[in-house]
Amino acid sequence: MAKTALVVDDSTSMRQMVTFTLKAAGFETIEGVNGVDALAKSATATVDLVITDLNMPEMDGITLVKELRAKPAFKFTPILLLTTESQEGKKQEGKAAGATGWMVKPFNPDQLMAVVKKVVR
Amino acid sequence: MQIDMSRFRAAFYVEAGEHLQLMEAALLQLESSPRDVELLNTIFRAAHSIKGASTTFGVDEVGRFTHVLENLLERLRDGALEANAPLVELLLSSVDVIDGLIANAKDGAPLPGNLEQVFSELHRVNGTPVADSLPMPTHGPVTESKAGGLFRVHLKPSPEFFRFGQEPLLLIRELSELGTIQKTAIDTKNLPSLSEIHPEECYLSWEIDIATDCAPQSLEDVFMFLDEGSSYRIEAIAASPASAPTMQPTPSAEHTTENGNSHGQRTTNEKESEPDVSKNASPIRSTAATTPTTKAVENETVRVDRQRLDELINQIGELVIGASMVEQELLSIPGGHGLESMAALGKIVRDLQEMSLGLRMVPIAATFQKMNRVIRDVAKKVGKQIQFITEGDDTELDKTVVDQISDPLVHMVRNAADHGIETPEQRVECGKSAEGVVKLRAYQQGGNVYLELKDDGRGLDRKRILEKAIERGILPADSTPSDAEICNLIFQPGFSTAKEVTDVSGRGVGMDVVRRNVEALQGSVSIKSIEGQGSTITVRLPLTLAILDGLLVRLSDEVFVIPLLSVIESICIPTDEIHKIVGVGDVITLRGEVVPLLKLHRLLNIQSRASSDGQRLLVIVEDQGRRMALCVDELLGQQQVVIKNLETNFRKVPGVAGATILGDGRVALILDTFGVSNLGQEDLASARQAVIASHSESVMSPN
Amino acid sequence: MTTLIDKYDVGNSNSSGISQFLTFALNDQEFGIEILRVQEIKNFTRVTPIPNMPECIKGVINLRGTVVPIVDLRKKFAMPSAEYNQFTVIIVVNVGTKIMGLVVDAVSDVLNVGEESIEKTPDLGAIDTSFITGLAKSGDRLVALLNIEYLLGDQFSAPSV
Repeated sequence: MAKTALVVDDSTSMRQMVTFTLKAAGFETIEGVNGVDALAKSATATVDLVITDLNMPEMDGITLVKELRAKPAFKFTPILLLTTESQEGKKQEGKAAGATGWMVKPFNPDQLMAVVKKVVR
Repeated sequence: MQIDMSRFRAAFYVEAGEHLQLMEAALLQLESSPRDVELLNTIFRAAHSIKGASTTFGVDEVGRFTHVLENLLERLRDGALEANAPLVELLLSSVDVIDGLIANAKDGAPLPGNLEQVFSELHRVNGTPVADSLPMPTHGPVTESKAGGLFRVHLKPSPEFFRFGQEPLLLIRELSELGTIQKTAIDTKNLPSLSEIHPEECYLSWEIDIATDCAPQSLEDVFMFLDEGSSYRIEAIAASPASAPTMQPTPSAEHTTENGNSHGQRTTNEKESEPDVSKNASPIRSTAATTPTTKAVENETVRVDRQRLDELINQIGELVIGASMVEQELLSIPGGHGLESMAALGKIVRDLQEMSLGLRMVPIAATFQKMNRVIRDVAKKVGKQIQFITEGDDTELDKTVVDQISDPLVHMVRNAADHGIETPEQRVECGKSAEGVVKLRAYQQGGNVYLELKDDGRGLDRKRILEKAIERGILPADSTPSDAEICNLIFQPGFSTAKEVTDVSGRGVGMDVVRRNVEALQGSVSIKSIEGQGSTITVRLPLTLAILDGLLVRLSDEVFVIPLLSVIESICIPTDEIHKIVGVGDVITLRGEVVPLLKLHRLLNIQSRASSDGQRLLVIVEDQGRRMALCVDELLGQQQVVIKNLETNFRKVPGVAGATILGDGRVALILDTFGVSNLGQEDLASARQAVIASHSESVMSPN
Repeated sequence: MTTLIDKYDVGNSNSSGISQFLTFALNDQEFGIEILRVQEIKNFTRVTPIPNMPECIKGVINLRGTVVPIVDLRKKFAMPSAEYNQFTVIIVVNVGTKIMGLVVDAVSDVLNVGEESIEKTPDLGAIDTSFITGLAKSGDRLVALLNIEYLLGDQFSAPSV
């Protein structure tokens, strides 16, 4: 069965690119436009991977990671953060919140899949 | 994986535009509340998003610029800089520059002229050299050099290892892809007795011997996401022969261990400082908490490509026509079978059309917001104090109309601020408050949306306008136009009342351009003004450009559609009530008012059949203050028609607003009543010219 | 050399320098239009006139929901007008991004023309020869190949005021 990824970013273009890449690699995708939206959608689906942006309105990425990790269904789910090179400190903050890894923007589909492969079987 | 990044650029351009709008609005608010943390966050987040996406999608110029801007915003957000007036000005210019850079990337528009200047100004404030450009991080193997050998990898996951979504087997598999695993040993000495095992914790550690051609760095990259409680160590057991001398002391392995330790230490620091972190994040958290989860779901939106939406709406338009064709055919079948179901279907189809048109409706708010900036910039430049008020921001209009009204509106608003509102000194002299008020209001009435721009400035200078109109030959020297006529002269081509061409408004375009743009949208514009008290410009726009309520009329064998909005009434009068006035042409008297009569047959070049009944059927219309009587052969009824643009496959035709397809499949032209009245005036003028010509000929010929 | 092919065998021009032209009759002369320009051929139907247009613009028709202008080529070439009959057809062509219909006396067939058998335009008397890219010879037939862009381009721009 195809694995499902929850892709969270307020930027439509980034979300499109990430979901397009994941779909090309055989994933099913669910999209969230911010933390609150993602949290709502996560309640009704079985998710094998979460990829989330950090800076988002309503609820940011780090808060989302904490909220997700507190849910039994997301205790062990790999969560990747989308960061930029200027957010070095955020990686550690995200890791402390329970994120599995991160992806530094800008990245291309190959780089994204290389990182996804590190955290999803 | 071959994925063309440019396919996502269209979405990027749209969202960048939205981010820029957001930034601009927040910056304008920041002027009055420079310490508002939420505003600063909004601005920062928008810039950050633009940067992240632009670099990803290869819009590098935008990325390079936004990177520098982001550095500045970061310092602003952290309180290292203060949002004073010059800085906000710089940031607003930056927004413009990004907008320009995006236009450049998207449509090949010229680069913004102030790019270099703003860029170096940002650098100056940042205190960084201009040469500093966006570092492009590279991913993947950093060192390509062959420096392999036999390594022993020690991996000791933390008990919480799984709680970070990590999986030891994945790490081992990744390692195995880098070389040949020669030995794997599991250390189970930390494994407690079965009764004490917590199934969510990790108790095992591994020791893996791997022979690889890769540099130790590649092995380390496998563990880049390891949580801080976990540790790993890589030691070289035997280096590959080629690199044996340099590889012996395994500096990287030492370093890693150290790194692991420092991670461990940092973990405790991090734990201590955790309350701080959540305190810092608290404003965001509270926003999230006050927003009910369900709201996000309710407001869920789907972005649809504009062209696809237009195609859908067009197809539904076709469906409406198709349905009415079927209806007509059913009517012609004796027995009336199927008429009832057809009526039900027809209703669904019309509802569907209404819904589809609603899809393209957007609020005018974003356009209004743009005007904020326009007013502010003009006021600053010409030293005026202006309060700008908007009303009815949530009034909805067809997206096409909204897109195309923006430029004319900018022009009107600029004019109001530049020419309408007086300087503070002049205002005080006239007994007004130093601060002028410009109010922009939108409201819907019937099938129209009205935009009203009102200022409390000096009003139109009738004397100057009249002088100018005579000087330019727009009016004959002896004419005595009404007050309203004088005011509306400003919409004539080449008419500008500004005493001197200013940097702000005097760009060689006048209100005539505004009028032309508005008319192209099938709207109209008019002005009312009281000298010394201000002016009000009203723009009438159709709700949508796709459908129109029309009155179908017959002229000989042809059917024409007159927009119902301009129709006042239709009357039947005896031919002897039509009078000919020299220089005006045919007129009728309608309740005491003289109304010019336009012979549509003649103006539209249609063979007319002589009517013998001594009666004339007239449709009285009014467009932009011009009232006229149109002579037609028959009224066929009212109908909603789908507007088809003649320009799509042909060109603009004077007097014709577009075409539509009737229920029987025939094409009918939609009249542009204002254009028709212009045709009438041209016709009269050429007739007059002919008279003069023949007259002068007869005078000349004896000589 | 040129060959006549079956009129239903409508293919694209290929890379070997052979182009295909739809040929039609106009006042007993034969003309050709590049087949790639031709969208469809339809029977003459009722045209809605557009006011105050040059005589050659017959008006507009409804082509499956699209409003398409119709040009009478006889009028365009200042030839004597003819009664429309059962052979009169409208050739729907693509000109740039626009669609337009041409009224002609009758369509003949599809002509395969090799580049080498297209001759330069000689003086054709009354007809403005700049509308014609060349002459194709096929047996005893002489077909004038039309440059549609040039021929119809001026119909799209608004009349100068």
